[in-house]
Amino acid sequence: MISVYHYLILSAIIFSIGTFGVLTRKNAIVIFMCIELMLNSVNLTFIALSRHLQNMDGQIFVFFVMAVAAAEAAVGLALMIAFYRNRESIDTDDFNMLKW
Amino acid sequence: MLENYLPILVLVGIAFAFAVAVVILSRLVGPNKPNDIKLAPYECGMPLLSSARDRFSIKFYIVAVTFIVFDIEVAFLYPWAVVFKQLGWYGAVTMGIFLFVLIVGFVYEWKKGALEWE
Amino acid sequence: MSALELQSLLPQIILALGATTVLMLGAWYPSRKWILGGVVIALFAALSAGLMTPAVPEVGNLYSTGSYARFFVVLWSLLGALSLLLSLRYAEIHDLPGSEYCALILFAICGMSLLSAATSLIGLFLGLEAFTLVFYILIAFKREDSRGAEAGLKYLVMGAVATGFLAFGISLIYAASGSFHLPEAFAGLEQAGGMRPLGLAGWALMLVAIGFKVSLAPFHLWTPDVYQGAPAPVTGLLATGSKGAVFASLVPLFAALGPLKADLEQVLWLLAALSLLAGTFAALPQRNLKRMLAYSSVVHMGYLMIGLLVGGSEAHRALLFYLISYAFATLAAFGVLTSFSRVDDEPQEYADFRGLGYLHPRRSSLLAACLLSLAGIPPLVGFFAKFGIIAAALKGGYPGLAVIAVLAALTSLYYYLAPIVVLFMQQRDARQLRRGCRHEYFVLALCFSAILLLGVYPAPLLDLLTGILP
Repeated sequence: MISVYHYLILSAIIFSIGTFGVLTRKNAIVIFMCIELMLNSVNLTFIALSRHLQNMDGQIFVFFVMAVAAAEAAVGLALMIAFYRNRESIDTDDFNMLKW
Repeated sequence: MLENYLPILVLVGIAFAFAVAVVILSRLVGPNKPNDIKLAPYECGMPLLSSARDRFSIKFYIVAVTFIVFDIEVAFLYPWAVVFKQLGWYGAVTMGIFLFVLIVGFVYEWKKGALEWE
Repeated sequence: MSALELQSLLPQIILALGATTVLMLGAWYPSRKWILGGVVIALFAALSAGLMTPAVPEVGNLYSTGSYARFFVVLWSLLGALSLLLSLRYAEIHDLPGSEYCALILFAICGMSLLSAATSLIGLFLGLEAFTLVFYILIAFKREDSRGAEAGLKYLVMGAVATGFLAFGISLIYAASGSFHLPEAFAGLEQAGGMRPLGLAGWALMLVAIGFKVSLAPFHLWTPDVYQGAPAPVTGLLATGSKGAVFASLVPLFAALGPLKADLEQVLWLLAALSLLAGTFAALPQRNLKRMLAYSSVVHMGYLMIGLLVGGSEAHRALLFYLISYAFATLAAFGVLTSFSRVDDEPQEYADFRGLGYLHPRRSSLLAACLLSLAGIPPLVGFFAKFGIIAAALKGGYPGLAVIAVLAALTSLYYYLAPIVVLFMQQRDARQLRRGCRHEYFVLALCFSAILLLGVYPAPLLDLLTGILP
């Protein structure tokens, strides 16, 4: 029988994979995909909990998270275009103009 | 319960066996004289101009930005459509406000020329 | 949502609708005069928040309309109006699109006022995201400037990770308590039984996210890069409003925390002490004014954290007073940088300021006054603010933190005096920078009088803060 704990553990694992990806990857678009992974693991938690607690609030939060994730992705893509136009790259190793 | 699916299993088995049989039979019975053109992925059409693993034009990204926003709009419309009858006018007006906000953004985008390809 | 609720949320609706209108009209009639229109809209929102009595105390179980929330609507609207006025000339020189800039600032103010009014974790999340998203764009607003784009992307990656942590933290708190509404969420955490560790883990994740957003050490590494890369007026609003709004929302959050605070105490202590120390040591060798202000803001966030940790109405009052004094001094400092900036570059290296005190005496002395107030020199407001926080720490039984705070304040004199020495005591070989204009002088004079008057006569503001604290 699959209980709410299984969902929580699964989403914790996905969240950790996302965090790990953000920390280790170099390509800004891949970093964005990892951030989406983190946010979607949160959505999984909310839906599982909403069912477990018999409470619709969790599902409402999922919609807000989705909206925020979409807005962030849109702004992120636009910023990457701006960065690419100036520097011909979206590699995080090229984030090097601003330093100590 | 599960035995209801037995015909489907039989169908899957027959389909699989037929596909395997055709591949093996054509290899055994048919003539086999390969040359360069026959081995190419496509026998007709134009020769390749460049590798497909190239960078895309930045215009595709602008389309992607637009798409993301209106893609999520549809995700919001689904639950509303499910309970449309129960919500009545209240729901319709609320959704109208939500769509109006998005349309304002769309009009802005149109006016600024983000939808033009050139 | 009923009509009464909409009416109670009027200031925020004015801001959001005003921003949309300016954006749309600006698409047909582009002009930089829209920035002045934005000032009017912000002032109008401030007026409606200050004068109107809301019909309901809480809107949709998300946002409070109490006097605490309305006070912050007024404060952020005023700060937004001031930074819009400051940006007028800047936008003209750098050829920024006026209506878009104005609309984004108004959206940011709207988000900040929503965040300070949040009474639910959903409201908190939405308010926070509303203005962070705007700042991602504003930081990279100068499109030809590759440093701006880099700063924007850095802030975006950091901010998006923080959003992930915040959402996951909220989900764990929801797991333990089954509610997003603030008092219930914490009450549920108290009696959660087996789920209680999950709730505490959720709090830890939320603290990480908050640490990112207000740049507490050890989550402060993005701060100097973003400050340096962003346009000066945007940095001014980022440093004051966005951090201030998060703290304004944390005060009621921590007041509702109850006995749970004992579990978080050590973490908060560590965050405050680390911010004070790391910010101080990193600020010492800086030779760039924006980066120095970034690290010094980490120190200021450490002071605010002390106020949060001590708790109780007196400490919270000291925190809010500190927040306001910090906001005016910081906004004025970035205002001076804005008014100095020319087409090609913003002066920010200390070398650019050499001997400037004789070329531009008024603005240089104003910059010096802001830095002295941030350092906490007596007649200016910064002194009373620091004094209040340290006194609260001593009274609340945190002598260790009080000692660290005093040491940090003493050391801060070095890095605040360094640019002043450069301004007034070095050989004059500075190039002439841009002449100021009327709007800029008006804003700077207003901030200066706030710094001075509140320092000499803080009683009215303190009384007001006592009245609005929940």
